[in-house]
Amino acid sequence: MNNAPDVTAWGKFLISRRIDELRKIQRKARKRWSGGKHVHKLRTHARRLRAAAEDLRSCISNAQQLIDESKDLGHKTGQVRDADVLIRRLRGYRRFAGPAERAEIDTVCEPLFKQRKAARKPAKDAIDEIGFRKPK
Amino acid sequence: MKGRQIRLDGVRTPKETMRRIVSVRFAEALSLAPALKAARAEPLHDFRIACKRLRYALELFGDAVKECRAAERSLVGLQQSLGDAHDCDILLHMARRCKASHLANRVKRDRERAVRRAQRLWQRSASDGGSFNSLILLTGIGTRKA
Repeated sequence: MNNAPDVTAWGKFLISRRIDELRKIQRKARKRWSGGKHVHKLRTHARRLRAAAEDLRSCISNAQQLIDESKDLGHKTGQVRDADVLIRRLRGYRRFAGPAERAEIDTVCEPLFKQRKAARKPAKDAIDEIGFRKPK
Repeated sequence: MKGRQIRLDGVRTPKETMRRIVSVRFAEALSLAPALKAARAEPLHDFRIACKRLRYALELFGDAVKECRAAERSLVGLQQSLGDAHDCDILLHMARRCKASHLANRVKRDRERAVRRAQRLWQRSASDGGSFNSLILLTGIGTRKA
């Protein structure tokens, strides 16, 4: 770290603000775990924190740790979220599909339901376990 | 795709830092924008991520770059369309694996629409007087090569 003091303090402030936002959503996701809305919000905030830590890497000492934790959280909750998004899209298609296409959609949906179910536990564990330490 | 490393050596104020970060992220998005033309899955995905990095940088600095709000809104729209195209790429792969030809055709059409939306939005934003004007003024980088 070789920045002007103003820049370093400002960088730390911005990162800490991102961590506060993320922790708030994390608390909500822990309390009301449904695998839906909160997971999406949490993933978005984790991406925001990761982007901020990458941009301001030279202002804080624990940037790499924050990047890794955000990445880990994103990865572990990604399977649930991806399956949700794709299932919703397929359901939308199904409403306008003929019988042959509906059968195809059901076939494609099946592994997505399994993926979502299998991914819920690791996602919940990640939400419970991963903590984000503010820069000193 | 990994984002470009940003060096902050020599910057003395938050304002300079902000300008440097936005410049790097804007340049990154511009350099990947040609992916919109060929619209192949992987380069389009990289471009989507670069747009996301630029958007997050603008969001991070909030009111300090409020002149870039219109650019931020364009990036949100762009990300929505590129995200739709990305979802379609995943579904297309799954549909082909399951030999679901009806579904594959529908997804292909949906993808084309999403890509066209993104192309139009990018062109509009990067044109003279478009929403990226504020980014050009802030960073001193032109959009001609896009």
